[in-house]
Amino acid sequence: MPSLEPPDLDRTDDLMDLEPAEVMARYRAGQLSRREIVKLFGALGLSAMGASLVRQGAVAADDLKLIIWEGYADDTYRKPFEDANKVTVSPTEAGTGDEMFALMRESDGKNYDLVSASSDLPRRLYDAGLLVEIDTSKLTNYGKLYDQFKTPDYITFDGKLYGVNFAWGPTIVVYNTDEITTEPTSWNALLDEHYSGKIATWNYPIQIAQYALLLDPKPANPYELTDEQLAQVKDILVKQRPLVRKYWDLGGEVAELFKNKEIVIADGWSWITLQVKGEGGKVAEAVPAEGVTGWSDSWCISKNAKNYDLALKWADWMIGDEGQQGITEVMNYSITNKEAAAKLPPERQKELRLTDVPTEYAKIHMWRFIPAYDKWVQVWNEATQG
Amino acid sequence: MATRAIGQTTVQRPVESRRRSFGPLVLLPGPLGWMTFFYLVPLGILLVHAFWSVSYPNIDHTPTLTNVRTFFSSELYGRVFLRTVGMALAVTVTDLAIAYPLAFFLAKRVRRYRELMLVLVIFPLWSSYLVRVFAWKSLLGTSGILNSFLIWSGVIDEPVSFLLYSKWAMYIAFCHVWLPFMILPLYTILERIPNNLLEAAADLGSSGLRTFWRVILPLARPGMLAGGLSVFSLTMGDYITPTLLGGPGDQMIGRIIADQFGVANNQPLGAMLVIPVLLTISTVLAISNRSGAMERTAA
Repeated sequence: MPSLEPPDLDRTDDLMDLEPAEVMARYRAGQLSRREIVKLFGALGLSAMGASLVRQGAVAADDLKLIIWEGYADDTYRKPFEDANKVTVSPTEAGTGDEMFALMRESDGKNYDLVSASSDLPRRLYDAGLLVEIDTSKLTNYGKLYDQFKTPDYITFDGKLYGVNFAWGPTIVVYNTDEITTEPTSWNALLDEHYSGKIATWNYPIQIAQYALLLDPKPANPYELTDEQLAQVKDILVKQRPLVRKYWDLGGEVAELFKNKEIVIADGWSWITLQVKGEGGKVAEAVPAEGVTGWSDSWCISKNAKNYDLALKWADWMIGDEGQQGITEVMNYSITNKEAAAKLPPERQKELRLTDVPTEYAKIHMWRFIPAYDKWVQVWNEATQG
Repeated sequence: MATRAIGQTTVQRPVESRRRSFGPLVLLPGPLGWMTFFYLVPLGILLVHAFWSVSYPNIDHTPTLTNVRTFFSSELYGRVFLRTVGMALAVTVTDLAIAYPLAFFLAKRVRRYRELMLVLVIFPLWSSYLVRVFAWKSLLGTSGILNSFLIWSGVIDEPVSFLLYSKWAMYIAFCHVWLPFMILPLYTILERIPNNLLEAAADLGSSGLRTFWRVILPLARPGMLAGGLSVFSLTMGDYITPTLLGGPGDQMIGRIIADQFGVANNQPLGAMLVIPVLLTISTVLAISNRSGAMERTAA
């Protein structure tokens, strides 16, 4: 005889533990009386919240919230996904992996479903308990990935998979071909007094690894530096500072700097080159002889994602033919789906390092989890802001 | 003392406000509750955070002085803090110098178009702060309007780069965006100085400068302090202008604090860094309060 009893206070307590969306769903399904809802609001002490609860309940089911690197929710592949699934995808662009981590952490992952985490980040997200395991049986394109992207160590923890690897590439030198006629061959170009006041470099502590490639002897693993090596990199950065026009925060910003002739050389990604060229700017990319750092990006799903299945669908879409082709066109990044790569014209495969993926991939010092990251942040701030 | 007496004659308080009534007390819980929950409690949480520490990947809640030690052991924070105070002072003094003649002109010289001119002062506040700061980018940039003009007019041959991404750019933008906050309180106070005081000073043979120094300035002090306080604290806490217009080595404490909550993911240190800023502003506030800035510009 459940429905005859008057609703008691304990029940209000139970309701308070539920997600607002869930409460509203039950209310609509007739499992809760209006009186109980009113009591619940009363108990929450904020009846004004009612309005926001209803709104939240209404959008939660068909709204996918992403934290991304710029470009990863481009219309080219976002629109078809939205249309096919009748959902809205709302991206938030982050300038650094740290920012992604902060965004995920401040809401305990509740505000976002997915994050396009580079290879240094998933470990931190996992340690903070913010990720949920990927159910590969629901990914139709998973089998088409190159073997090395199926369960790489940067997204596999305790034997379980926590990300869907969909793109990778290096951080390279981007330079203005009108001003610099001979192709730079070293990271020293970013320290060249010749370009004083015309240099920009990424405002991100992980870039310490890039400048560590200039050390002699070169560290075997630029992500695990000794205190001495870290101090040497700091010297390089301090020497560089007076030459720097701007430490850039977002890729769009560095593209703007090129366009406005504020700078002639910077570190960046292929997406930036495409942005500048798209605006009619004359830029080219160069790969320094010391080697390059790079990133391998995966879609990781938040532990508190509002819609796990939809999030998986997005990840699956992005490693599918259309998503992968979009990444090559819009971002000019390398991809992880073997079949999609085979469909590209041979010259594009070569450009995008896809003719021999294991060898090409191994050439890049891929970002990885940095144990002493606190120290890196401190060194970076002292060198660039002090 | 004498100035204070004169000041009081200018403030004509209606008599009825002295009558006791319990009506206003009913309104008290609202604002009081608001202040408690949305100001005092968050502030308390922030201060408690300052004495926690980060223990990867979470926050260790054991009270510690780690952050205080970090603040003093690294040159970075002290230097950036002093840079910020210096910038805030420079902007405040500059805005005062620009705002005073304008406010005086508005209060004492203009009659017909006073309302219109006041609206013009407030007008920039209707546009987004971000837009106004961005506008300086296109004005001061290498291929910006100012450089193009200087080259066109033959003053320079090559674009000058110190204009943008520098302390100058920040200084100019700050002075511009906060100026209305200085003009308005100054105008309010100057407008209330009775003209007959100025006339009396003139009749008694006081020169313009002497009248300014002995009559206007003491009376206008509360307005100057109120405006100065706004401009000073707005500059102290800002991090958007330094991010957009500052160059290497120009960052201010606001950006460093924001970075602790974002990039560095070290909320406890960020909370710690807020304390010197709060202390500085509280000190300035206390000084202004003693000088009566709060009493007479409140209306």
